[in-house]
Amino acid sequence: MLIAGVVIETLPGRAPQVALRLTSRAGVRVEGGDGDRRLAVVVSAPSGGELERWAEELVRDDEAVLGVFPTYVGEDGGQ
Amino acid sequence: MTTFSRRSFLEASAAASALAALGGMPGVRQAMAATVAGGEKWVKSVCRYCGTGCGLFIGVKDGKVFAVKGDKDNHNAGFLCLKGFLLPQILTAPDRCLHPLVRKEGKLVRASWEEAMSLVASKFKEAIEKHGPDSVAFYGSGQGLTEETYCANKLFKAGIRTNNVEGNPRLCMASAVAGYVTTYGKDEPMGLYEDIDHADVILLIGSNTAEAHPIVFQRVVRRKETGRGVKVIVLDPRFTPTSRIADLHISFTPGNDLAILNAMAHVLVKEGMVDEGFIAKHVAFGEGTEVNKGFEDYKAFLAEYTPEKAAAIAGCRPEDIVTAARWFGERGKAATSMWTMGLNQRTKGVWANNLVHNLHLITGKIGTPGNTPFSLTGQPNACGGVRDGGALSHLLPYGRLVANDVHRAEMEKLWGVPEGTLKPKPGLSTVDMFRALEAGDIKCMYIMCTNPGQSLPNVNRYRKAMERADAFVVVAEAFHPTRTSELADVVLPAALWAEKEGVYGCAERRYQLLEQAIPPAGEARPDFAILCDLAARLGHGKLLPFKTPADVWAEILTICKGTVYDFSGMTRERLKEAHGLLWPLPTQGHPGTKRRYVKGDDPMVPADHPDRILFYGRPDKKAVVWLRPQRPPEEVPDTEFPFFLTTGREIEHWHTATMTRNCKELANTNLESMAQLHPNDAKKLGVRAGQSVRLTSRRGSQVFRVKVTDNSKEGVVFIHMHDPDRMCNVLTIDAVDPVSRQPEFKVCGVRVEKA
Repeated sequence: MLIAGVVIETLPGRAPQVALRLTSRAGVRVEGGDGDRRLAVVVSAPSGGELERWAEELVRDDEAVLGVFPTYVGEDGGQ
Repeated sequence: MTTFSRRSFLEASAAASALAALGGMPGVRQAMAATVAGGEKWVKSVCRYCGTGCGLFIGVKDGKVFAVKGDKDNHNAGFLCLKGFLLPQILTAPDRCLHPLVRKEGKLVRASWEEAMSLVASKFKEAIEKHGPDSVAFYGSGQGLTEETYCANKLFKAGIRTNNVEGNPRLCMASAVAGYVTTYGKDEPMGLYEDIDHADVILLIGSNTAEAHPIVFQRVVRRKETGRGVKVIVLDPRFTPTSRIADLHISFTPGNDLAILNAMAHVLVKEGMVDEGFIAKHVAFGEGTEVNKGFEDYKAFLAEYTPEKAAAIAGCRPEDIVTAARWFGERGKAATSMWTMGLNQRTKGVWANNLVHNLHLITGKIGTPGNTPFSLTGQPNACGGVRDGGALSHLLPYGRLVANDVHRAEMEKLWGVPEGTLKPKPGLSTVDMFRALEAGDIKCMYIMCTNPGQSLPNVNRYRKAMERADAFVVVAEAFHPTRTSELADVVLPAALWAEKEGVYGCAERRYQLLEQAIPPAGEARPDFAILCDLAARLGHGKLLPFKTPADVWAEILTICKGTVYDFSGMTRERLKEAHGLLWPLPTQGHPGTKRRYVKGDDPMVPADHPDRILFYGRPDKKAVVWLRPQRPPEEVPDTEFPFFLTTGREIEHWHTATMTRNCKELANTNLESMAQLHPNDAKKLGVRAGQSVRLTSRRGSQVFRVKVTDNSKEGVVFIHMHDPDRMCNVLTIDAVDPVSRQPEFKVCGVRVEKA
């Protein structure tokens, strides 16, 4: 499982609304935000491809989201 | 005790990283608010861990460090990895060494500074008088501050008059040094981290960047996310977290990447992706140690390295080699390559480095934004302190060589010592130095800021050497016990990171000042002060007359002047103001150099030079493409030792974990070295995850618990280097590269048995 930290950039003033919508998504945890246009989010995805697809879909489907910027990628390997 | 799973750690790291991008972790934000209210200060510094050199600010309140925050104006853009965020905890660790220790009747007992230093001085004096200067040695570190390493180098080479000055960069980057020197005539990368932002193709070879250099990796990820069609190629026997973002991961049998790199060059030549104009102007060709070949010789040499042949040697797919070459060589696409221990810690490490440079030189992909061969560094000041400062047994400061008469004469004049003071014969390199200790030829060794009792290859052999009754070992260290300090005759408590002042130089030639934020803990002293004290006691006080590290820096600026490193414009005042400065920087008004050898950027290239690039490091002003054949590692699996052992790093820990094990979030996370086995190997051996296996090499034997993961290649066992209780280096081989003298930590043969 891939675990990534991302910053989501939104339209000004729309970060709280986007955060609310994100909380209903599986594998997504909102860690904080600036209350205006940026959110810090942790995302879990089965692969890098899935993570990229998630980011692409978010930008495409949520008109308030301007961009998704990874800040960290780690892998929770099997044991 | 709280346990912290790897998943929890990763989630915390991810959250910390994302929050940092918003302006800081909650704790940091609270702290910043307190700054306004309570007048606390934030002191500019640099991360203590890897060679990325992330800028940060240390928050101090009531004389204690309570937080750090990333420096947004530095190359790391305010980001730090979780290890960096947790740095404050190392300062108050329960195993901080707070007072001197002297061994009496077999036990280390508390002593005064006077007693400890008198003993050290008397033992060194006695050895020098009875057995000569070469009976003593200094073993330093890429973690020491530049001023500290400079003092040690000057004391031992010009004062004591021995070239037995070494440091742990010999274990991690000596092959990169020799790679740069043999190819360009001068050490150190020509590019910078910013090249990642311009690269269309990023080749990561022998580097688990995601875990060893997380902030560099983050920049790679960001480039891949934001750039159009950016490709990442990873060459690594293991499928590491770095491979997760790869567009192409080539797994191969350890030690056989020379064949792959030559095959990539074969494809580049065959498919016409070379830049003949660049080659004609800027490239020479060589074999062995002679630059006596031509492009046609090189083509003939490459002819046998077909992708099919290389793939058969390396155990990978030929079509992947072709794809990698085509992506790398595509015209108009910028290519950055980055590597670290996977290439360097090899008996063919210098050759492997040469072969990466070859790819850039034959395609002309060098010296423009996004086009650079970039060696990443393991420690925060291996480049600035040891490499550039010349604190290895064959070097003198700033590109000068012990064996060069002119260079020695120059240094004797600069250091104000009589002609003939500096000895012309290089001292012993690291492995040879510890072998001399084993043989009884070295009587006294001063170890500063590192942990060879855990980090040397074939470590038990050299632990026995350090334990010899007739060997006197001094360890200046911030922590005790470590696997080295436990063997010492004297342990000197050293100030740590925020407790002292000095300069670090990271992988991209960026020098940065770490300002002192708090006083040293307990009776600890900065290594600078300890070395000046020792010099005075040995009768060499005139060589180290310094009152402060700033005094040392002022002298260093005179030593670098006129060399290709020239950073004489990098005054203390500028370092205090700046968020890192890149050399060369020869005048106070100079902005620093982004790309070396490039006209208009590098001040060493004349403004009227007719071409965009000038490889001024060699007499013919050309860089060398070397014809380096595929050669196997020193030790390959056989019937007795049928598995490859390869060693490396995990994201939660750093080096020998003397610092990270002192952070509560990290101490219980992945510190235990486990034998990582491919599922098919585990099945064949009849072992499951969590069960124990005994690994045996020709040098030693150690029991590890098993981790089953298909990240490992079948037939390859991986163990990380951090665990002080289950040391992978009991098994590793101490064979060295004949040029760089760097040991082959990355490959040896082992037997695996159910324990």
